[in-house]
Amino acid sequence: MTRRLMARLGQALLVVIFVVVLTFILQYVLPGDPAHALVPRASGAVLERLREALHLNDPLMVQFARYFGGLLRGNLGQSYVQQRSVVSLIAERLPATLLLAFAAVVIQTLIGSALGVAAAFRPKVVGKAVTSIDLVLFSTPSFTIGLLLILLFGFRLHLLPVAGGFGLLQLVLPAITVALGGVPWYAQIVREETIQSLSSPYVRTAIAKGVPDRRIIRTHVLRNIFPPILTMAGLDFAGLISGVAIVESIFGWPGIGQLAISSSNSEDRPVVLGVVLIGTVAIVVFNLVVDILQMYLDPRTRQGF
Amino acid sequence: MRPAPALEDPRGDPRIPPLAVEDLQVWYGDLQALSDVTFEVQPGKVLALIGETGSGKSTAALAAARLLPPKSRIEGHIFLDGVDITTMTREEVRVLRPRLGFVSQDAMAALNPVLSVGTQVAEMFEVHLGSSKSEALQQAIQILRKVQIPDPPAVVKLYPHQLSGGMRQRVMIAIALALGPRLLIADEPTTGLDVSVQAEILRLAIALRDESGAGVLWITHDMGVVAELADAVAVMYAGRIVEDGPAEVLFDVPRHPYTEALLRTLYDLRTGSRGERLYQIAGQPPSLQSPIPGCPFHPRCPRAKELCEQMEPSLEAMGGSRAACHFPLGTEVT
Repeated sequence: MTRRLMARLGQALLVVIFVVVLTFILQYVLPGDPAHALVPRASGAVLERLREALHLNDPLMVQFARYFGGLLRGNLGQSYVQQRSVVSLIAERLPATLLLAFAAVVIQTLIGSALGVAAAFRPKVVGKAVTSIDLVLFSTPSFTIGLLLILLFGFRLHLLPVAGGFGLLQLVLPAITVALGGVPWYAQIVREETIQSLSSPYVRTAIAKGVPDRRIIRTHVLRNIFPPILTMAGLDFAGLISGVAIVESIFGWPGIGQLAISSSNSEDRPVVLGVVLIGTVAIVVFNLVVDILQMYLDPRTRQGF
Repeated sequence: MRPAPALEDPRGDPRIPPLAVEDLQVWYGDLQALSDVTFEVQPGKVLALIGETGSGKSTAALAAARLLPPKSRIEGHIFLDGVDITTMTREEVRVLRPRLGFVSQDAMAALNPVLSVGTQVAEMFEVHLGSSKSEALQQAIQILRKVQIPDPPAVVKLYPHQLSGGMRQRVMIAIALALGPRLLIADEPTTGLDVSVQAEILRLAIALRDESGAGVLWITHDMGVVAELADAVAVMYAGRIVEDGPAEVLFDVPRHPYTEALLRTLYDLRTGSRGERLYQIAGQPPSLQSPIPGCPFHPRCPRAKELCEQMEPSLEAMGGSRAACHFPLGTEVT
């Protein structure tokens, strides 16, 4: 078991290194000049000195070696634009992103699962309604949902703050926006899992045992569909850490996604790289965590680990 | 074994059959799976329903246990302990379930994969006797001991996939017998098990029947199992009973050519010498989609005559059994 775990950890590390290298090379080969972005109207000589100071003239290998060496010591470099370390910039904004991603995952899991279970039990009425809801949500991009919510709750109803700032009230709209994108996935998968479970031999056994319907749903059906839902939610949470960038910038939510977008616009390469790295590490780590959790929830996978 | 609380006398009235099925018809959509099936299970006796795949034997078992899928339609009557359960609501039947043990084939699929064995057996006592969790677990350990599972206190902590096929089927039997049912319905419980394990399960079933006095409806396609176990036999073909009677009568003087053919497959396996071709019933069993006019067995029957293609025979008493055949064996007509 420990050997399996060590192998998984090694794999995870390789993935992280691969993504760092790829992002680094991409930034290097893509057109754009951080020095120019920093001081757009500077003369050629000033720009040259700036490039020298930022080590932009060094060969790729040297730049990479320097970056990677810093990485090993937990140093993600300095921001070009702000005179601060990338670590402190990200650390300052990470809690906002984690909060948004977490809130969104909780909302989408609860709403999606409720819709899915309801659709499985009442395929004629609820099922058709859920299919339509799914279709609308599937085909509406998050920025459209976000803007519609801002229009409705912010400008029409004046119920919630429209944008800017960090707080529970400000969290509501972006969290719902992100969650609505995930709801149809959960609704569909939970519906399928529930239907499958309801027609399974073990549910028939439960009926033969004389177990009341509610208890069948609670102990036999939900216990079986819980592991896949949890896996999905865990992986979604990790994905959203780097995936809520657009929603963050629509709502002015001060997370790392917004930081990445603004840094990308100003060619602040170390910051962009740092955010990508954090996102990757989150996904890799959560994959591992979800696997281990799964092991506790589904006895069948315990032996293999 | 603790009796079900609903029953004053756990053995019930010996004059009332634990299960009586009358003129049972089952449709899946437009397809008729059972036609006019009638049989009775006597207390302390085993009735074997035998037939090929698709003969309707499992449908009959599921119908008798009110476990058919929601899309099916039922006509006729099913009496459990003299009570007509055919049109009862699910909840009304649920309350009677302690009297009706059901063992299905493939215990691996029939047990919940994510619940421990203990939880699944104890659930019977929690639901029907209102036992507390720890009480129910003790009761589960007792009933597991009864089906000869070694070291039950350890086994209750295991999950179905950690048990052998034979042990899993014992757990299913323990669940079915937990509350001392009047009737045990077993739907091919030994299919897929090793022959030696099959024998153990059969011995266990016989011992438990003798002890509890429950009636048993045993579904199988295996004539060997029938010979071992059955007091009475009903042979099914194309959703009908084509012959039924006491086991010894059926084995001695089969009347229906299909019964005779099934018996020949058995004797061939037991007495046939190496290299000899095994006896095989020619042709295919009919499918629900294309019902056969007249006697459904006539395309495969060596004795079939013109009459058999035109008119379906009904079950007629002959000797000690009943058969649905225009030209039954042992009543030579030429």
